[in-house]
Amino acid sequence: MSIQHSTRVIFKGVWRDMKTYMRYRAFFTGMILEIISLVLGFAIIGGAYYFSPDVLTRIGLAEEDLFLFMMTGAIIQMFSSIATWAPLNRIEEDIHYGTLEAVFVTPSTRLGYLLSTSIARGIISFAFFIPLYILTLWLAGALTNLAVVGFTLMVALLAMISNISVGIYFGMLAIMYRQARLLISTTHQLIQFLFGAFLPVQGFIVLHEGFGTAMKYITLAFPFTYNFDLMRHFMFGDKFITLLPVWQEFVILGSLTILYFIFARLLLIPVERKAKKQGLAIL
Amino acid sequence: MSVQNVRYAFNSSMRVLGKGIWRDLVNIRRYKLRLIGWLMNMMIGLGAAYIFGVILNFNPITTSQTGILSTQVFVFFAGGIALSTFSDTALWAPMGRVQQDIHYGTLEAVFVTPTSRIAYLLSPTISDSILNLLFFIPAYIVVLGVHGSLTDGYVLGTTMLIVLLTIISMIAFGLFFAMLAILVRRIQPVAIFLSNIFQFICGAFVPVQAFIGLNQTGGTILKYIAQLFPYTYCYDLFRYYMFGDVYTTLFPVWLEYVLLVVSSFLFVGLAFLLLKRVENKAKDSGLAIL
Repeated sequence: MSIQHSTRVIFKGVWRDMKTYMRYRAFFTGMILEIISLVLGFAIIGGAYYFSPDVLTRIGLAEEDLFLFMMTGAIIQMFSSIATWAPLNRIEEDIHYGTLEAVFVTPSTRLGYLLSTSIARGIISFAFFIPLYILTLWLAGALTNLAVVGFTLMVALLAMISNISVGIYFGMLAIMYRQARLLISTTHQLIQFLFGAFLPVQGFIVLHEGFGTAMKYITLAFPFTYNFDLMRHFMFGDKFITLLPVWQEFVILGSLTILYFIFARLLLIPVERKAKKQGLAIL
Repeated sequence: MSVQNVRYAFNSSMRVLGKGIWRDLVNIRRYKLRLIGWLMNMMIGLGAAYIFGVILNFNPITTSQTGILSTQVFVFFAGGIALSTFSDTALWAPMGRVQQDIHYGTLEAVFVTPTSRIAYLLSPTISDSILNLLFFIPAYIVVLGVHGSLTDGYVLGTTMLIVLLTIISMIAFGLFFAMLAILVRRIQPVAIFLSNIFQFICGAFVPVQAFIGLNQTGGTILKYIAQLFPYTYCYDLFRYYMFGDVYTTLFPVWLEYVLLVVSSFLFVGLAFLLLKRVENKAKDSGLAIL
């Protein structure tokens, strides 16, 4: 009964979101324009900069690999909004429309409700990921290499799942703290600059020995880092030096995904307690 | 129109402008979190510039085209980030105001009273640029400090002049964009696109001179597109005064000043033309278009 009920909530939630996305064409136009400007921007950066020699020895790539490096980050970055903006927008929208209370007073599953918004965004992100992914494969010269295609698709799928898991956690935070937008926006920027989306975490050590080592360990606590690192490992091949051995990265990524899901489930308890004590006005 | 009427119209516009700026500044004091967000954005931007500066070097094409050293990435990048906050203000401030007024249902009130619409839309851009200046200055000091020209009066004076010119040209573009925001309801995707374009194509992060490193033909086309926007000259002149005579500008310096002024006036002209269209459309189709 419970699984059936949860599945129904998730399914209906995804269906509702997909319908909404279809109605707002401006959203799709925005996504397309954003992708175009991003690719153009990276191409321009790739044409004007090189990795510094110290960094190259730590990542094993060539000077002119910068554009491809950024593109591999960009394709995974497509999924980051699943974790950040999708749950936040849903909660803010429901607070705005006054429908969040309804979710909390009915016996429907709250977790399923939050999961649905991330899944819907995941499906949409995947649709936009495909053209960018094909372009990146072509740049890497691996468009016909089935092993690379298979492994990179697997990493993309893992990235989607891990982002959905982190997304529920952020959704909970958005309910707990009304002004979560700032926190989430900062996280989004940090993912871009510190977790290896566009710059290698391996290269931070060049900045400063202590800072580089500390940053490496901090970023290792988040699944985003492994998504970027594994995608590069399969796109560039063995020449790319990963942060940890590849098998370890897979294990940690899987564990972190499960851990974030459990975190979110646990965070739901104080959220509900707070709502019971102070009334639904906190929402 | 008699002289008295012109004076009356001018006074009224100034009053609308003053009150609008005052309203926005009072508002921001109430929403302190927005200020924190602004500060964090700037800090993350500077941090990113520092990391970029260590991890990346300019390639030989860029150094030969611009005359700067391959390791001067941080000063180049951080200067671009600091200055680009102004171009972002031009996009988001008027759009935010129009969207807020549509949301509250107050935009109609602005259009049925004899207040100056241009002055009204100008006010959020000015109030935001005042606030922006507060966050720009620390970043600007960091950039000058790293570059070692913190006590150089000439560099200070000339770069501040460029900052002032950037604000003025940004206000011109902001007006144009506000009109567009009223005419096209779902302008947000365009704003995000333009924001990215301003950063990448106008030279915030990559010198326009070095676009040929991407591809000879494609780079040249992009260079011509960049030359349409006033920001390109703002960034270029800012760098010219920051790096000194070793820096190769896109055009001779005097010509860049002329082009900057001309393109700013062009956008104000376009804003007035769009205003006429908006008002005609509102008259024809009713205020529901707003």
